[in-house]
Amino acid sequence: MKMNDDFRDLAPLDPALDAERWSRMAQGILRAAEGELARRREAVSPDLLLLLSGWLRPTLSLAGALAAIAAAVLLAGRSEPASELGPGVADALGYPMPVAAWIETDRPPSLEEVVVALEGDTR
Amino acid sequence: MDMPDADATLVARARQGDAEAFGALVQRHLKAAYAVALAQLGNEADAEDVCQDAFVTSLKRIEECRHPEYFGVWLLSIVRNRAHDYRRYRAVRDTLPLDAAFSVSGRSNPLRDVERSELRRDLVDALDGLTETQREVLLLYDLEGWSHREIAEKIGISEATARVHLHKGRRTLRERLAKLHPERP
Repeated sequence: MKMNDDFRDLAPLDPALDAERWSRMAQGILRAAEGELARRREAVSPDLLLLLSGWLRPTLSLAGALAAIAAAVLLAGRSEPASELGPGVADALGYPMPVAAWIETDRPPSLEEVVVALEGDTR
Repeated sequence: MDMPDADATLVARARQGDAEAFGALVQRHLKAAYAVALAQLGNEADAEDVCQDAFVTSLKRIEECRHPEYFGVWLLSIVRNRAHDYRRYRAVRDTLPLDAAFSVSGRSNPLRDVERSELRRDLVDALDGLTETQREVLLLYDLEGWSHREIAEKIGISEATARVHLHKGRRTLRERLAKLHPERP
């Protein structure tokens, strides 16, 4: 065997020169990897998870901000006295004035006021 | 003409379980992986086994490949580790020193023994006389056709060192082949 640096001395060891052997090697690797490849196809894509986690933070922040605003509005509404609510709801619904006044002032009516409300003020 | 997909693209697809992409990575890097495995183990059948094991391992741990554009370099490090483990296992199994284990066939396979030509057997035996790095440089240069620069980058040595390893490795190989067949010129 003549060895010199001008040609590929180790070419006989090249597995690709034997097409059958080369194909067998490559196919063997792919067969051995089939299970892992299938597992990866079935798993949720890590990229998709990353995408969702990217959306999660701003979405939660926005929802939190909206909840805080809604709570503030509700609390402010509850703390306001009834007399400052503008035109009364009872009045708007067409109740007689005395009845609307009881509802809006949260004061129990006297017997006389009940009679007047039921019969009308005839005096 | 279509440009071949970059390793980074193939790695991203393989992560999703794309068999075609993984197959392309195998076709692209198998010869280099085989050269390194053969350099470490000195036995063709064992080198094939270690290659298969290394590729499957690379797929299972592909999230750890931090620079997918350098998948080949990362794969070769797995091949070296697997070959190292295999040598230790084989040395224990055969109760032989590591150096002696290099030239011993990993297992009996009549079909492969028949297929193996005398020339290939002689070359494998002659490679036994080289250091691991010399074998790796020689096989990557001759089998895979890598340049000194590629070898230097991918196995972590300087170009000058790669040249020295190649020169010394070839000289040793020549001497050993001459001893095996003194009748040949």
